[in-house]
Amino acid sequence: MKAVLKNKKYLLVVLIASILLGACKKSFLEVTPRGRLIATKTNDYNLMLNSTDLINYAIAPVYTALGDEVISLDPVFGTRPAKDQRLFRYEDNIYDPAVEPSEITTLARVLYVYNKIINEVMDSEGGTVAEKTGILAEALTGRAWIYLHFTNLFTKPYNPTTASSDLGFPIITLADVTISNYKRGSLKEVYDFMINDLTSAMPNLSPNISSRFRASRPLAQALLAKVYLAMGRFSDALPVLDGAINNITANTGVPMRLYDLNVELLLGGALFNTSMSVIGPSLPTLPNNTESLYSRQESNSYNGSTNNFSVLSPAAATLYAATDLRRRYYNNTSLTYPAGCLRRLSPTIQSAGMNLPEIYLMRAECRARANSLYGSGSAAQDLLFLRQRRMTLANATIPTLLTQNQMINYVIEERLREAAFTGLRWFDMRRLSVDPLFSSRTYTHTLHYANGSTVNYPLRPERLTLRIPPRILADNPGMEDNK
Amino acid sequence: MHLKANYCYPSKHWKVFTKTLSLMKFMAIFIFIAGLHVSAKANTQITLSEHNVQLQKVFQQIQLQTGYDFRYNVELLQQAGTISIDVKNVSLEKAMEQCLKDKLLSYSVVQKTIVIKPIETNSFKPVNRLSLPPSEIKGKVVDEKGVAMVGVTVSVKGGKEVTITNEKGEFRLTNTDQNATLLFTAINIEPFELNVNGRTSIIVNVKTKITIVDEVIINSVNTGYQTISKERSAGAFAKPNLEILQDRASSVNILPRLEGLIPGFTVNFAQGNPANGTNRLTSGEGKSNQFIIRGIGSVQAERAPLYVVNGIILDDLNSLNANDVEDVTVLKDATASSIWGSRAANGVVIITTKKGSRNQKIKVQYDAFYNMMGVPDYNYFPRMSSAEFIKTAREVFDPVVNTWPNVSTFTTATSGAGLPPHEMILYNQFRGLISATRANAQLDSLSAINNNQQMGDYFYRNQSLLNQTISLSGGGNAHSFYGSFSYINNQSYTPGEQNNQYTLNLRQDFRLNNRVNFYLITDLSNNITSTKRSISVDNRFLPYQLFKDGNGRNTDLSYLSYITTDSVKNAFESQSQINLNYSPIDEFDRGQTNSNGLNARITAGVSLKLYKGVKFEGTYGYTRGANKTTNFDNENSFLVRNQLVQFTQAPVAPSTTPTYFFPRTGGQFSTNDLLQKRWTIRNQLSFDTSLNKGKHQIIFLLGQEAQENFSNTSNSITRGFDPLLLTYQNIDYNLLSVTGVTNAVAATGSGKISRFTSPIFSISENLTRVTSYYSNIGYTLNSKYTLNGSWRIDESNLFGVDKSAQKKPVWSVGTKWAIGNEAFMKNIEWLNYLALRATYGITGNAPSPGSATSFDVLTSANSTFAPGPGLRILTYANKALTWERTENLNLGIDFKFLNRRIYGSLDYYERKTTDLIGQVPVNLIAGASSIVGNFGDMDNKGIELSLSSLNISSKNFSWTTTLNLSHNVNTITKLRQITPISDLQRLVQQTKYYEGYPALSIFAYNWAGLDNLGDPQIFLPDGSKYKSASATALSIDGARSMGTFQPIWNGALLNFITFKNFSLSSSIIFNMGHVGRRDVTQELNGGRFNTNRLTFSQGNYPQLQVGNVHSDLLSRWKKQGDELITDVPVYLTTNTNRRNIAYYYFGSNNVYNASYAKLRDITFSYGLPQSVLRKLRINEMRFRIQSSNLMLWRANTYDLDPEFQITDINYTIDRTMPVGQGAVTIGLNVKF
Repeated sequence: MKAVLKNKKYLLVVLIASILLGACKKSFLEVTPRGRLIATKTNDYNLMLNSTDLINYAIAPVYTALGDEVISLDPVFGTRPAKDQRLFRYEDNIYDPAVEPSEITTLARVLYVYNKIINEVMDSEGGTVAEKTGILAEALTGRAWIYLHFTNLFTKPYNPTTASSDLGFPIITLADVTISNYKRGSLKEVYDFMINDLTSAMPNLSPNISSRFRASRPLAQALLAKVYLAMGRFSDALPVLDGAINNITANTGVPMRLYDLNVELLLGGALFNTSMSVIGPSLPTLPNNTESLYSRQESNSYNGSTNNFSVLSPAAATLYAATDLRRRYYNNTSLTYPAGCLRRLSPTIQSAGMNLPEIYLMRAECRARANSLYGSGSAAQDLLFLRQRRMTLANATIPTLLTQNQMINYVIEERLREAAFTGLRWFDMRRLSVDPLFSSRTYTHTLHYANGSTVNYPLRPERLTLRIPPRILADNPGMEDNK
Repeated sequence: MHLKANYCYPSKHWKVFTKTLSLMKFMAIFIFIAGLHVSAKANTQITLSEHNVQLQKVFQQIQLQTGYDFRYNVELLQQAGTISIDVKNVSLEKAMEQCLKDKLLSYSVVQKTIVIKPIETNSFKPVNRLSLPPSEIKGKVVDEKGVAMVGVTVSVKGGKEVTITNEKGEFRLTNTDQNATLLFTAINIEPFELNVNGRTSIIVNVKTKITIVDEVIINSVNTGYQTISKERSAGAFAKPNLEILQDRASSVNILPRLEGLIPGFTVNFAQGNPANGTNRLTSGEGKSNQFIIRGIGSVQAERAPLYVVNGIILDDLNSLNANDVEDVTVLKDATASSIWGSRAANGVVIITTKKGSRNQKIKVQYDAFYNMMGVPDYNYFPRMSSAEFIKTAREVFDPVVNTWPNVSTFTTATSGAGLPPHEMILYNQFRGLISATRANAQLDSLSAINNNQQMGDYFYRNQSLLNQTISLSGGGNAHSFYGSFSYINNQSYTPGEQNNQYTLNLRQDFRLNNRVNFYLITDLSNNITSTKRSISVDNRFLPYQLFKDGNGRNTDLSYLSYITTDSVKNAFESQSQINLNYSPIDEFDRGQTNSNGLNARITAGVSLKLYKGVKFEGTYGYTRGANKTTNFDNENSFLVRNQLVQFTQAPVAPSTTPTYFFPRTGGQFSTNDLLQKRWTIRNQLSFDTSLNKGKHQIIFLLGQEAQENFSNTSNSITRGFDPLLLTYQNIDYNLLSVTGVTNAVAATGSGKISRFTSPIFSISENLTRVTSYYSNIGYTLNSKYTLNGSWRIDESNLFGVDKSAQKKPVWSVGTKWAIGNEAFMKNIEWLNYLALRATYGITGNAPSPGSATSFDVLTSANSTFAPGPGLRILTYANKALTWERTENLNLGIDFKFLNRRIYGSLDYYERKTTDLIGQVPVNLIAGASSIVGNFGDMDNKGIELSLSSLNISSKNFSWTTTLNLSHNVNTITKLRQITPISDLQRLVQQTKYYEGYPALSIFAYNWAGLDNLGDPQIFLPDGSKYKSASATALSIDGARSMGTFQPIWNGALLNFITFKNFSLSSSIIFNMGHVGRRDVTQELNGGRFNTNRLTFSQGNYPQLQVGNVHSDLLSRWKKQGDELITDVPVYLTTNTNRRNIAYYYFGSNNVYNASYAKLRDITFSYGLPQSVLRKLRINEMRFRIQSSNLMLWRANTYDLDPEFQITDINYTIDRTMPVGQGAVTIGLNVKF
């Protein structure tokens, strides 16, 4: 009996011991929950570039509010958010101290993803070197694109003589949200940083455009050209743009072409809808938008059929010929003042990123700057290529015998005609302010009252650069603000 | 003092319960299982063989063998000394007789509990007749039964001499006049006078009052791992008064019923619904704040206590039948809770359920209650009447700013809202379509309408809760059981909703032999709910809008959607050829949601006695919950019609037919499946011994535990569903999501393009595993000095967290000195018990899995735009992340005075939490606005008092009062914010945690009144007034700290009165010392009032809760001089830098004192007398009636009930609709 009991005891001890040991097996705790992962494989980084988080931005409304093509109408202007009113008045302090500036936070969030990929993808598992460098190159291109926006808002326009002493924007290369002491560095450093990212990315990017969602070599080329434009380096930009357009022409991936408004605004056309007179032409969704080289989108409340607080100024409206089909994006019904203003109807969700028209217009400008005005390979050729898709062939002609400066000015005007109310104008206003040809220009915003009276808000040169939002200054002690 | 009576509206249209079928099915199973055990009962067979051991030890043996519980006073047993006993297979009566034969103790059996009471046997000798000096009087005080009365004060009337009777009831007065009158008083006897009349030796018969003190002595505590005598633990434990707990019929869930019964356990009803005990906020601060022990211990990590049922952790106690609860223990300090490891930093609530007693006849008990909560007060919101509203709407109407094309043009189906009737009239007048006279007449007719009656008639009904439980218990020698079946009908206030819950609980205990015991608990609960398609509406909706017109036709309210005007509606209808009428009453039957949840909880345990006090215990739990919800909305429902119209391509020529992209027939059907599995394995060895005749008592525990928690949810939806044929129709989702429908009738997006982006299938899964090791030791010397220690380490599969951040053992030490047992205290007659306790320990709080990680955690991000599936960042890495660590100090004292008529405990605690886990704002340009990280340090200090007093005690009447009081002071001692709060706006409008201030602080602008333009002003630190809204940062010195919205004082005053067969109990709860923000109007500009755009989604009621405006607007500033009489700013059409209206609604003038006291419940019960019961052949029968939630006192002058005020959860300022106020419950309890 005792022996049996003793055996039982041993059995029990063994049983308990086995249960105790069984449960402490290491693998018990090493389970990865499904639906979540920590990036380790090359493909994980590839998939990060497909994230929806990368495509939506909130900067275009800020740019649009600052553009000189816009005027505002009382009293509806008074119902607008304080920030929009302050931007329009070119005030010094735009952001409420407690407010998180969404235009910066959306960019910073995306920058984090690009930095994470840049820092980690080369050490990832399972991909070929070519795959890794390809992903790295896409992230580098994306990072430069982000910095184009940062500089466009918060640094001075690029002046080569003062760039090394002007304040830049913090160069962030680490994906670490716990860092809080970023300094601004010099403006030159930031531009060099963008150029370096783009030039080192370019060889590893596909010249073909397999997806508008992802970066391609022609995109990197177009962005680099845009950086050069901002720096006034037109001769550097021209060959890069040639390369971009050649790549686009040779592209066998997703269809890339300018919309011919002569066709597309008609029944069955890509831009057609039955209420065009009220809501303006439609814009195909990003994957189907053949003018888009880089699918990024912006919701812009400055456009829209019910908007009557900010409209196209009569001066800008006169730039459109009556036969220009781009005029179909505007109407003036229910607007009673001031005479000649137009309401931008569509698209309320804009294709940002990089679009074909901008590439052709950049090249047109570079060609004009190189004094190639008419004939094959000239500014006029690029302009016509675009204009012929914006109106009938007969009306698309450009004035003959323009001087070089007149041609450059014509391109600048064409840029406004093409991209009013998208924010592109703010980019031009800034770079032209340091361009000897245009530096004498001044810009003013006008608030119109129903009784005909107006109030003017002149743009002071220092406000070509926004002040850093108080939240960002608070987050980074020691960061210098703009004047 | 603001007294307010709340009434409920009984019996409006009570419905008959028709769940008999399912009920019967369950009953059949139940009776079958219970029947198996009827034959198991047998005679008591007790075998004892002990020599010179403490009585307590013998009782433990008896308890083990019979299953009977013991209730006794430990001191009493210790005084009784040791016994030797040797019996074999005797009855309980025999064994007890043997145990107590030489002792001054008696016992009685109450249910299955043996109560040990002090008894002086009637064996006192005849009074000694020897001659004594005349001045000496000896005597003995006895009660009606001749039992000696201890502690009776004997005094000489008019004299100085006083004495107290000794343990044998004897007294001696040495210098007393022989004709003196003696006065006998004691707290448990009726005062009595007696003339000595020359006698020197007397026997005094006194009348006793009934005392119930001994019955509530808590003699053991359950930590979930072990049950030890309270005397041997230094920890801070508390138990509720179970009688009040059981009588409270306010909720299914047991947790809200604990309110006020446990000092330091705070129930926050604010933002919640006290009637059903659930919180409307399902996530965030609102949820985790509902039950809090000893103040807020965490910012972001879990704040709620850990809930443990029969040794197994449960997240949700809704499936637990409150009638099955045998015991609740709340563990508050480190010693009490550190055994539970990293999840126990917020305290632990331990619940054990009932079990059957061995050798007991089958007992049947039936308990039922019906709680009638009436119709909620849907007029509680401060809103205008129709006439006031129309008048004000005209005053603010500005058609210049809000131009007709702007308000009337359809933009997209996801923006904009229709024009309410009163605005339509105003625009018609403005546009010259109707004359002023006609407009006035139309508006006047709207002014005269009140939709209140219709709201109540169509969208509300009486709320009630019915609970019926029948239980059986019994047992034989080898097997005992307790089983219960309950049916709960929870009728909400929304018509069409049904909620029935059935629970079946069976606990079986098996005894193989003296060494091996098993138990098995099987608990099933089935919750079946269904809803129709009602709406959520209250008086925040347009006050004049009727739901049925004068002719009894249902009103078309399609303007509440995106359909701006009738002409837009007509155009859409003709283009799509689909009717777009919307009437909430029509919709009621056009859809249904059904849900069926089955929750199974199986717990098994084994106990093996290995060798002399060494015991192996195993606990094995498996919980599985499955819930399936289906939604169906038929083709006539607005939800389906509306979606169809949005994805219909308008015909180019008016005569051609439109193209539909969604099915024209069939409805929308979706299913939602939830599966939860949890298992626990726990193996422990314990050693419990008593050496040297009980001089040394040692208890030691060592164990290991492994747990897994798994959940999986999936959703799928299909369209064109035919519920009879079970068929669906195919849809080209790729086309709908990528290209979209161009030229859509009611386009969801810009450019007349409708894109469909909602997922048609989704699945998510969660798996956590924890493995732990723990140990516990207790040592008691001479029943006076106790030392406790505990240690535990948890490791989990916290995904994305560095391994090094995990190795954080928690531990505690504690000591207790039963000072009352010391010899030098023995002579203090009024002191019955006194013990001092001190504990110190470290507890931890891990970040919830996935919420905070050392690495970037990615999750899927599907975009129809991207070339394939994508990944996005779910949680940002924080490499410096570490666990929250709380140092706990607890000092306590337990006492019983004056013959145990006053008893209680007092505790002082300090909880210092470091490395608080919280949402830490980070550098905005670094990539995120905030991450979960270590946020700072926090202190909680507090005092808890539980004091009970038996005020009156006589044969027929007794009155007990208990005060549970807790005081908590919370301070954020350190804030490790990466970005400091440096401006006033951020502090006031976005900050609840600030260094040097309590958590959940309310900061306010220093209100300076309105200026002569009617604009709100605030005082700046220099005393100047400021009103501008410009973007300059203001110094935070301008803020006023108003206090915290967490109560500082809270507790309850409980009274319990019995008179013969009647009893009356009441609990008054109070929460004090906190503040809240008053909901004032925020609609102060725009030129028109906010309109209601309904969103339609499956399974959610459209909310008609916007339209009307705050009645404060009536008293707004209108002309110069008004600033002297009002604080409500002027209404402006435009929004300028001139002013900032947040200065008003975040101003110090709108912070109110949130202190209040409520009569939470008052219960009157009556038990049938024995004479009647005997005739009915039942053991006990009680009726009870309870009334709940009567507001007694509130500190605010605004008539606000702080329980229904949403304060500062995510910085919104609002209130919720009161429910269950003035509810009435009737109940019945029968025992056979």
